[in-house]
Amino acid sequence: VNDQLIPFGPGAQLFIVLYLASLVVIGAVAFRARRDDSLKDFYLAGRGIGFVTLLLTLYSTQYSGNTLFGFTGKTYRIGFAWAMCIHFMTAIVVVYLAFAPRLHQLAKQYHFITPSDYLDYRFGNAKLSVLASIVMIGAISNYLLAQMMAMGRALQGLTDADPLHAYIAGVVVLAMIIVVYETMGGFRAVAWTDVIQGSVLLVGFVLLLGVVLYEFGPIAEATTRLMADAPEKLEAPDGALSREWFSYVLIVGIGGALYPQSVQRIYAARSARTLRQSLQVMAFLPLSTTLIAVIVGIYGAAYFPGLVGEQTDTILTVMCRHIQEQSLFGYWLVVVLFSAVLAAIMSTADSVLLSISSMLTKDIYARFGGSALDQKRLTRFGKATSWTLMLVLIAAAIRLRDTSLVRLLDYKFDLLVQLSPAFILSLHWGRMTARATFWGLLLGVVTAMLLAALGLGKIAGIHAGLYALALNLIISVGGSLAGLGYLDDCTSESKTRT
Amino acid sequence: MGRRQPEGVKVVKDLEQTYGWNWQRLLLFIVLFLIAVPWYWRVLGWSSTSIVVGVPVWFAVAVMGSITVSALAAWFLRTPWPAENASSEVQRASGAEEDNAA
Repeated sequence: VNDQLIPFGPGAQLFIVLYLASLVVIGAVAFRARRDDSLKDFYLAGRGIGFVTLLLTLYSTQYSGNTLFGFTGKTYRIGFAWAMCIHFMTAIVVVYLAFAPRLHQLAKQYHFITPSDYLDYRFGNAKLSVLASIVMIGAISNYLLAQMMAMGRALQGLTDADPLHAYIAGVVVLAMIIVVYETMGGFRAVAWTDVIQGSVLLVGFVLLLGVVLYEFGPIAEATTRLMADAPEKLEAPDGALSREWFSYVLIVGIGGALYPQSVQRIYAARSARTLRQSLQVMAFLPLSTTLIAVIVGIYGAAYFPGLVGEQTDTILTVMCRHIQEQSLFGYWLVVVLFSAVLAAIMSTADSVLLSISSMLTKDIYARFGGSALDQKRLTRFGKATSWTLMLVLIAAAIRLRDTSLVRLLDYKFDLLVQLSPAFILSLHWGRMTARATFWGLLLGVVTAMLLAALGLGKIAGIHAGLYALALNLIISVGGSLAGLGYLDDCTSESKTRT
Repeated sequence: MGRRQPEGVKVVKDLEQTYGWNWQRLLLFIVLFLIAVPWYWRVLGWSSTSIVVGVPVWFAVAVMGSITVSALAAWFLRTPWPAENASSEVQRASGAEEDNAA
């Protein structure tokens, strides 16, 4: 099987160029739409965004290129049991129910910008806020690097040019486009481009399902083929896989809801009504995204057997190549699908970049070195941070081009779930103290990293991050009950609150 | 004179007044996930190769379970949040930024 697409001709390349150019134009429009040079306007679009924009920016931020390639690849490997991805993406919305309404109300009332602004308000403890910011920056920086490497690989497969040159060009050009529109229009530009990218992604998934059904027939035929050739891919999960399934529901459900870029979208919702309605629709989007990825993976396993190891993650490309070869219509469908892939990768990357920039600027720089700077200068610092970060990551993406980041990517959720006591539990339990929460978070993160370093990503099918979270909860809840830092909290009022 | 309390107690108490927390809802979601994840399929000795609408029955159950969770979440989200009236009043007064046009 051929896992390289037919290189795009001039017409298709023009289509992609126009799509990319439209993102820069949106950045320019967003720049003109800015109200002032404040951090709030740059990082949260001032008074916030409406229903359609919020829905599509939440959607395109949650679903990355990994949803298309990684999920189809995983289904190819393990079969129907990867239905767990539908469950864990749905679990994210369930977790939102537990904290988004309260967090949104506080965010509007006290003008939060970064996730740690809530911690400042709730605990008034700088150490806890800075630690939380560092954990978030660490967890999603690697994610951003992975998106950039995916950009390079996406363009690499499209041209006849030397693969190394194509990879470098892909990384540099796409990263530059992102940083240009992001620094011009800030959150407004990111959210508006997400509207285009989210729409392309939704259309891409629906088209993908339509094309696969048209090309290969009903799923019953694929299932029959699998039953004959790889019956293990039809098996219901055994005990170990069932534990992994529950583990994924918990770790992605909680970790995905606590992506800093997602928390900032809760802040950015123009009103409670906007947020509520967006979440209502979001609850069903796993069915139009991850379910389709699973179905496509099943078709791949049935009709293109033989891929092994890392090759399995190219099953979508293999299928696209097949579709391209069938007709001119198929060729153009793949052009649109490829645009959806680019959209998925870029929309995740721009949101992560903006979120890291906001935390470095407001939570780290403004707190320790730039407190005397006015909003305009801080915003300028934030833009410079985005450029610097992007240049560093471009260099890293080129240098690490042959490295597999799959395992490292898995660990981001192990780190993000450690934030759940500080962000979710503290919204429901008033006696939770800053000191106990700090030590719980710190030891939870250290434990998760130690287990990862020892190669114990999962123990008995359960993610290492959940064991670390158990320790984190014991310390933060037990410490709070024991009165650790109780007196500090009684006197910390308005220490950092604004 | 009462004992001093951490500021967090007041923060959460204020929130409780507007957003009550419903443990029954959490329990309902847990039960639904316990049904949706087909961990019991092999335990009960049910066949993995029984097919319905072209897919294994257990897979169909898992997908239906997910749809039920989504529908329930959407159902819980149909009720306006307490802050909605207040925020819409604020918006009417200040004029909301029109960025949906994008």
